[in-house]
Amino acid sequence: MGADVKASLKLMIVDDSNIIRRRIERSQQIARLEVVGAASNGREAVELFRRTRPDVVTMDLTMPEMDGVECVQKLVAINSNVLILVVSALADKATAVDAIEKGANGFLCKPFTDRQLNDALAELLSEA
Amino acid sequence: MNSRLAKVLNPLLTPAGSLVLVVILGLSFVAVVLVPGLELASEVADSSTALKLLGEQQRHPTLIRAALESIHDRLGGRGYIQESVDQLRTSSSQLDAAMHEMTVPQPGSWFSLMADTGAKGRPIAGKHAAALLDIWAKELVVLKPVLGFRGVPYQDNESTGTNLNEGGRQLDRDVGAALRAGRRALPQLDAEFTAIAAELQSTNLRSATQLRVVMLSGLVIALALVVLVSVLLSARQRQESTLRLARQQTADILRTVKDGLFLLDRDLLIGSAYSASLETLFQRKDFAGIAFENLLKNIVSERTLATALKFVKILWAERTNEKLVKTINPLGEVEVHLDGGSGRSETRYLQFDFHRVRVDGEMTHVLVSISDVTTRVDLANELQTAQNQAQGQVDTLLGILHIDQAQLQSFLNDSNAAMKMINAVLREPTREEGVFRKKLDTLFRQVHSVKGEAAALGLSSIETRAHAFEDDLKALRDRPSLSGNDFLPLVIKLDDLLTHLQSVGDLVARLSHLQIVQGDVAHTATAVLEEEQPLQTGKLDGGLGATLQKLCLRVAGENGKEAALHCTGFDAVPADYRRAIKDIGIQAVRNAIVHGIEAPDTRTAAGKSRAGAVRLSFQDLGEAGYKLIVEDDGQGLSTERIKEVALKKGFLTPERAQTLDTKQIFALLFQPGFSTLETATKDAGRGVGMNLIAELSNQLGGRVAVGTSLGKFTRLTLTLPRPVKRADGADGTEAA
Repeated sequence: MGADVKASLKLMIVDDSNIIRRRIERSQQIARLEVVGAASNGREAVELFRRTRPDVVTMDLTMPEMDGVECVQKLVAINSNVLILVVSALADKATAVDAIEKGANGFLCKPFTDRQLNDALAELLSEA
Repeated sequence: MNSRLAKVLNPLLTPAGSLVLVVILGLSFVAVVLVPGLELASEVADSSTALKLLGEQQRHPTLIRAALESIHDRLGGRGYIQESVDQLRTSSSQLDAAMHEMTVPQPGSWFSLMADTGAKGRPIAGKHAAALLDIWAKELVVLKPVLGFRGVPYQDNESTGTNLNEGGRQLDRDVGAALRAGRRALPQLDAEFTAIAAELQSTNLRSATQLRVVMLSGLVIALALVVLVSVLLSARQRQESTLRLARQQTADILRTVKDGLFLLDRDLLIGSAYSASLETLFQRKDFAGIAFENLLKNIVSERTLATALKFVKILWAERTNEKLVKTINPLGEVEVHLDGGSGRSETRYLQFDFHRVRVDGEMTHVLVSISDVTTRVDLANELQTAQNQAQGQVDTLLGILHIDQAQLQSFLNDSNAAMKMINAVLREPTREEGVFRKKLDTLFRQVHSVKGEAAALGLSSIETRAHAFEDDLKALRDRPSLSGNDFLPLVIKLDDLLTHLQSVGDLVARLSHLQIVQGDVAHTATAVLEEEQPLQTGKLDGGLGATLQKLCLRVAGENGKEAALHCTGFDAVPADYRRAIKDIGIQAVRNAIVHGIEAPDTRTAAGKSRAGAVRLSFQDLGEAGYKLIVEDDGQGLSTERIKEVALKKGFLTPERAQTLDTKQIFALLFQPGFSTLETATKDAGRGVGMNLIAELSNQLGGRVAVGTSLGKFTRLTLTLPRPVKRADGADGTEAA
């Protein structure tokens, strides 16, 4: 990636809601972030992750097949440098804390505005 | 150049640099001053000793010469020589010993000391040793015969007297020879001694000079040391005072800051420095070293505690983005239960904020700041309550919108009058039990009429409050004894009722304004007209007919009955009687439906129509006054049932019951507190309604008559005189 002059980063969106996936894809305006894929559950996400090797992931927590916390753990095991932003409702802080404990980097509360999404992604990338 | 000097000096002026400088100076002091100084001092001391000894030896040649001359003289004068010979022996033996010491080096002797003082290992005396030995040996040769002399040098002769004997002559010759030899040798010896002394002197002088130089440089070094040490000390002192000041400021901040502040280390233990307000926030002391878990244990839920501990731990992971996890802080606004002392649990809301503390990029602590947000949370709750209340107001408003403005205005006017009356009654000073009871009855009637009318208009919020007020009055009435203090709680309930009436009044006022703005002229005009010129036209009965119709519908509905109300002649009610007629009408209609009209099935069974009929008619009798008739086609009044209840409730003694006629039995109905119902509902059962009717009719100077036929009807006939002008129509103290 260091070879790439523009240093573009690959973004993968994981959410079981089609609306949210599309929303994130359309709203994200970080110049060097390029959406490379979207998954609707944890299992799909792990597969897609192996294939596309994204640098940044937005992760829903409650999903069928494999939930977000487990998925985070798997993704970090594959690439410990990946940046993961948990995007979920704030109903259960304990689960969100679990996801961070397993290696996610930050949290964005649903529902979010475009500005909140972009601020969170920028903040996530600022430490990269 | 100055800056270059500063560059060189700066590292030296740091505490560490100064310390190195002090050590170097100390060592050089030892090397340059102490060691050579000690050496030079011992050199000076040695040469001084040597000089002193030399001085002692220097007198011996002179003494030897003096002794020889003394022997020579005494031999000539035939004197006693032994003393001089002894002197010679002592001096020469001492000089001999000294010679031996000076020429044969021996450790510890003055000679060996002298030898050491010689430059570059050339002993001063050593240079002169050969000459000294040579001279002394020669001298010793000539002295030996003299020294060896024993006996007496004289012989006595009677003719010639005392003469030298053979030995004496020989001694004389020897002394003469020694003197001659000594005249040459002894000055030589003396000269040698003098030369040695001179050399010693110069060595001594040199050493002393060197010692002075050493001492002077020592002094300089010592001075430098003193300066350096004092600079160091003052720097240290400055540093300490700066440190003390900083520490004081930290302490001041920690003592004064409103937030609870402390640091957590990697093991989640609380550090030794924390703000004083922490003690207030947690109502405990000694936080230093305790685990974060123990701080929260028992004051937050176990689940929250577990999540909180996990949350603080993830802050230590470098992966975690501090800003992006703030929203999931489980202690962002947490309800805590603190022991408020004496076992009482106090609930407060605390806000915990966590900040990473880094030193040189390395995370060392988590700073925890805690603030009490109870007020904020309470305010938010209050706001919620206020919003709910506002919603309630909107509901009331919508209710009001459905009520005819004229009716509503008339109700509010009446209620306000009733409230004034209640207030006046409550304030009226009283001591007697009987008066208290009477007060209670008056209050009951007033509240009851407000309640009744509110119910008639469908203003349930007012009805509920009035009912609650009635409940309190009922509780008071049931007490065996009454005092003024018992009335105090009523004031609060009254206030609640008043406030609510006020807010409804405000709403109505605003509403009418709104309607004007909206141009609903016809409707508003009715309300305004009604307010300014009540009942000028016959058509306007103050909404009485409509009010009663509404009441009839509601009371019938709530009591599982069907009833139709027929009102006639209400437009003839004079203004002064409006309030009273309305109150009476409300109570009468209510009573008719609750007590008179039977349930539809009962009615059908009795061959009547399902719906009962209640008829109210108001008639102007001209000079004779007015007549109000309230009649229902219900079950009628049973004298037996009335007597039974009166006996049971203690209104009658059994003996008295025997003697009562029908009229007297019906009179029981108008007693305060009398009701044939077992439990009070909103509509009946408190025994107020009939009493209110009687009381109101009394106030107007009228009479009430009861007519009934069991199973057919009940009829109340009120006869009222024409109104006389009075200051206050609601004055309850005037009775007819």
